[in-house]
Amino acid sequence: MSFDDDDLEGLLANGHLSGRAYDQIEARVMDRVLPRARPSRFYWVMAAALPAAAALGAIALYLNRPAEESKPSGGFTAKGAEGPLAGAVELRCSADRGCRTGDTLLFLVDTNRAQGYLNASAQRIEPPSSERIRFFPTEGGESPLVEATGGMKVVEKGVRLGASLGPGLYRVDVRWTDGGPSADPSAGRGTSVELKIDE
Amino acid sequence: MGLRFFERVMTIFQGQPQLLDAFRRGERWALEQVYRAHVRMLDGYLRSLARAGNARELGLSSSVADALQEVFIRAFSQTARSAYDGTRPYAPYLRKIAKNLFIDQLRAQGRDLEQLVGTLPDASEGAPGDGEPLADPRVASVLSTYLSTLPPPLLGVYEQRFVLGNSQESACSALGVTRRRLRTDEERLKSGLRRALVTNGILRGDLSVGDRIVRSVGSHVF
Repeated sequence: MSFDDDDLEGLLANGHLSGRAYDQIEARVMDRVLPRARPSRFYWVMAAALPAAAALGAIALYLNRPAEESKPSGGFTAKGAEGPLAGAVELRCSADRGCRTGDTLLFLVDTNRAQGYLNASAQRIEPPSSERIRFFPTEGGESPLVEATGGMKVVEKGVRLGASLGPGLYRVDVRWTDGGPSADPSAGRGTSVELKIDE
Repeated sequence: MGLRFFERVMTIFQGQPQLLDAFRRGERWALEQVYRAHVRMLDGYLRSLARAGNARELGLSSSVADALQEVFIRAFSQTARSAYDGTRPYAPYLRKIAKNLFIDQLRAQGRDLEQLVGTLPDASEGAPGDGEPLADPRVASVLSTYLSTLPPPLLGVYEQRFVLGNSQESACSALGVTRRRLRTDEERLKSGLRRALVTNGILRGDLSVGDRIVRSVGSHVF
């Protein structure tokens, strides 16, 4: 950012800082006050795009199975969640088993019912933890956009389950927003899905 | 006056126990919400301190940005969060931190504080000086004319990012645009203003914009 750009922003903002400047300050404050372990999680999350693509084949096989076949035990759909989006999103790591550390977590979305930017975070409920781990938006502020193409769709970006997402039962909160990605856990509309990570 | 009364008796945490709990636990979304609710007010307060303290350098944007960062780091420390009960008004608390930081900076400069401290804006009151007019009437006129010609989409970006100081995420959500679109429109706003200043003879097209405009901004800040 050049010096003259800052001055022009100062003029436009009537002598205050601009929203862009506030964004930068906020990022520096959060870097300083949030636990240090958290950035490493984001590195895992950001690194997940490629493994997600590699895992698509297995999930495609799952999606193409005859409809009357029962789902394997590895899938996680909304549990205890009510409302119009309950069951609209399913979490999977592979076609034939549950999730383990090191897997890539994929989001399967019923695009007839849920569309928009997919924002997601997780909190471990067994054993309980107060820490919330954000999947989307990523540290770069990106969330995958799911369009209303109809039918079930595997979201192109997944989440690598790093060592910090150890074995346990997690509640994954998924929020759908229209205007852009959002880290606000109450933004848009959403549902919750339980995710079990095995040893 | 209404806002100041509201600030004295209310807090962002009023009726929001989930926000308070998350804030005290240090959850990012809660810290972000508290930051956004107060950052623009603190920006104005820090500039009013610089004016009252006749400390021009501390009212420059870069100094204000550094001070804002420091105030929020102190306020969001685990100790400070744990000690906050959620019932005391939060804005005066932040201004108190800002004022103490400002006094420390003056002290480090070797300034005589005995008489000066009494003239500084009270931390318990709202920040005065918000939205002060530009000192250079030619710049003010060009800016006003330029803003009056903005098409609605650009005007929306101007309001979200330069009047309200909203986050990129919040602005995108309010305007229904992508981040890339927002960034492009912010650049269009700045390049349009630069052209207007050149067209009106305030800036010369062949000069560094920064060299010339800094004088206008300087008079604007103080």
